[in-house]
Amino acid sequence: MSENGRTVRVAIAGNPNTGKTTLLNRLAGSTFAVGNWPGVTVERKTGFVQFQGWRIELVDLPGLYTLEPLTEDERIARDYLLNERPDVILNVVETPRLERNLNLTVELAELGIPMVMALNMMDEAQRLGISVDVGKLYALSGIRAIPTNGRSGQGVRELLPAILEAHQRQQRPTLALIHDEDPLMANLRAAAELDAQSRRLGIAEGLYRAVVQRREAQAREFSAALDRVLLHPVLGLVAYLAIMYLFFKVSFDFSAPLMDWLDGFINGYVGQIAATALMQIGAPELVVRFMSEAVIGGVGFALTFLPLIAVMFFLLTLLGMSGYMARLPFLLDRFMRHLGLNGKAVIPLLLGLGCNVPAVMATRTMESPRDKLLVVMMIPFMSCPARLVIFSFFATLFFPQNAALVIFGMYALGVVVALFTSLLLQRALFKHESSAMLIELPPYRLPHLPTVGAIVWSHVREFLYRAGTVIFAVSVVIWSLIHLPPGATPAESIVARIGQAIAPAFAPLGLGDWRITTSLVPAFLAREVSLSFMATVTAAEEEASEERAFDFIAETQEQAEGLLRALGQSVSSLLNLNLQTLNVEEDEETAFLRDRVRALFTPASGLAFMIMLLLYNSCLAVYGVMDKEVGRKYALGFLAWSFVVAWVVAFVVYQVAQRVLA
Amino acid sequence: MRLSDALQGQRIKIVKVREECALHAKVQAMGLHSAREATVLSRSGRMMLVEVGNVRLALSDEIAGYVEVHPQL
Ligand SMILES: Nc1nc2c(ncn2[C@@H]2O[C@H](COP(=O)(O)OP(=O)(O)OP(=O)(O)O)[C@@H](O)[C@H]2O)c(=O)[nH]1
Ligand SMILES: [Mg+2]
Repeated sequence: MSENGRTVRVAIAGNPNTGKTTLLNRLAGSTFAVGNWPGVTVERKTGFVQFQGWRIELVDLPGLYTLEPLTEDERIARDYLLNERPDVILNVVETPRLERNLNLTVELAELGIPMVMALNMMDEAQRLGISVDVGKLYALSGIRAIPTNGRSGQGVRELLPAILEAHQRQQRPTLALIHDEDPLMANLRAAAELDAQSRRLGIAEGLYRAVVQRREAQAREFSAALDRVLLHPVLGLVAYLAIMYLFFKVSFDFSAPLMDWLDGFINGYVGQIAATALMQIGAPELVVRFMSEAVIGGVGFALTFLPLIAVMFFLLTLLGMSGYMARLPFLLDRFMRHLGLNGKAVIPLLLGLGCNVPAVMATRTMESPRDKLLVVMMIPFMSCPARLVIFSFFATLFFPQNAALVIFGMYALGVVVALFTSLLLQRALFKHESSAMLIELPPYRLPHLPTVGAIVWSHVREFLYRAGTVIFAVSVVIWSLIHLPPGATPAESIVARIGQAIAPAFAPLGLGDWRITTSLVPAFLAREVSLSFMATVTAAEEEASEERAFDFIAETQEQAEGLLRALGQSVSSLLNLNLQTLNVEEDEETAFLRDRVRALFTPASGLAFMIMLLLYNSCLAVYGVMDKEVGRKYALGFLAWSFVVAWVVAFVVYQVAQRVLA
Repeated sequence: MRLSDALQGQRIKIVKVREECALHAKVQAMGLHSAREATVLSRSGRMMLVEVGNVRLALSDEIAGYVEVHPQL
């Protein structure tokens, strides 16, 4: 099938959560998402390796239990295997659960494609006293099996020569070459009368008995003991609430000192150095302004929030990698069911706290299209770190005493609106339809820190990339528009005119100022842009900054000391269980944006602004992925609905808050 | 009896998974198929947690109702 005989196309197939993506990442050096729950990979991902003059194309597929697909992710895997006929199948199995994994192996073997098996998670198998006779496995099945450990990388490289050999020799599985006295044969005979699946199950079981040796089992008790607490109907819920509290507490309190420091570092230090350097080389004033307004003001502002984003993704990754997240559908099914939802919905909703885009894609693992649609329409109301950036800025500015409460309120409001949306949809579109649930619970695993680090880094990189592209581009466009037509003051600029045109629609929310309304427009691309926008506008309105004496060495030393202090505060925050009010120290360098924003808003309109940005869609990328997953009709419907809800809730909150807070 | 009638802590042997179950093939491929022994680890609401070999499955009553089992000692 390969165009030039030097390429091998390999499909990586196996049960969910067996380490397929982990092995691909090891082999191809890629950083695709992994996690300890079934259904991490929901689309095809490809990596490449050069080996002995061959180009090996590795296609990672979503996990499957059978080739009879029920869900979209399973269909993607099945279609690839059946329609695209890879040259070789790399069947990744979880060795501790080989008995079950072989069910799929037998089904894959029937495709008649050369096959290699990765006996993954060998480390866990050894701890359980399980060993596999690979020689016998090969003799019985024609499948070459390589023991691997995706965590340490042990054995992984040996897959490559085995893959090449299977391809070159066209080693197809031969489950027929069976000796008479083998238990496999007895099972085969017994199964002869049965339907296709029962026959396969019989063969798999016979093969398992023939090749696996088990010494007495031990060590498994850890997961069982933990589950007795974490899945307990009462204790489990208490633990869940405690874990979610810690998730937010650590996200805020650990990152707050670092964000403060970064704020001063970018605005005070980097900004000053850039300005001083530009002035010294005699750059035109416009360039200096561009630097300080568009680059430092717009992009630098967004970068300040990097610690928050990194810490949140770190914690979310821990929840996923430990195996805790995989259990939430079971734990929370009771509640979800009362709301007409499937317990499985919990995972996409929780992933939405990280980023709505993969969360929407994760709904592919849901069996019923109804459940899927309901969850997709809820996810954009789950607040992501980009929105948290806005909340933490506004909450600390207008509600310094209760910042944490206000932020928590925003998250809660998102959840309430999501549930309301789902209930409305159920009323309008579906009769009550109970949906069955069937999931596998993986063992708890200690998160592998290098893998966690790689995942967090890929999110941080994504954020930096966005800051460097979308946010930068928007800042530049807006900065230019603010200075157009030439000679105009910002208030007479094109931007101001656009903002003034749409202002009447937002005036009832207390958001009638053009600087606010205009910032809502680019927020559609990415949330944090709205604040960057304000930073750019307000920076532009500032009179040309007065020159200050800048002592490079002293300032550098001060920054370094500040960083150490911040790290110290971050670490010591971990020792305190209370959520410290996100106290932002107002240092003079950054007080300017705060002052300007304070002048633009009242606490009540600040709330309205946060609500608009919380509820109205979530960003362009989410719109795109919704369109792909549930179709244009629902994606556009969602846009309209979310705008209406956002407007109405913001209106009500503004009107009430204005009276209460006055 | 059916798996949905099994009690917490009970050990059972699976007789068959009825074909009317929409997830029939998947349930079996996930490890709940005839002649396998399993233990009901816990029950909570409509959900039950079942251990088959080293595999732990969480399933709802709708599905467990299609699984015919024999109690084991
Ligand atoms: N102990 C141990 N853990 C492993 C090994 N290989 C992978 N893991 C862990 O197993 C979990 C699942 O890994 P993934 O690579 O996401 O599995 P997958 O097969 O791609 O899963 P899906 O995409 O959901 O089908 C992760 O938590 C990995 O860190 C291994 O050899 N030993
Ligand atoms: Mg995967």
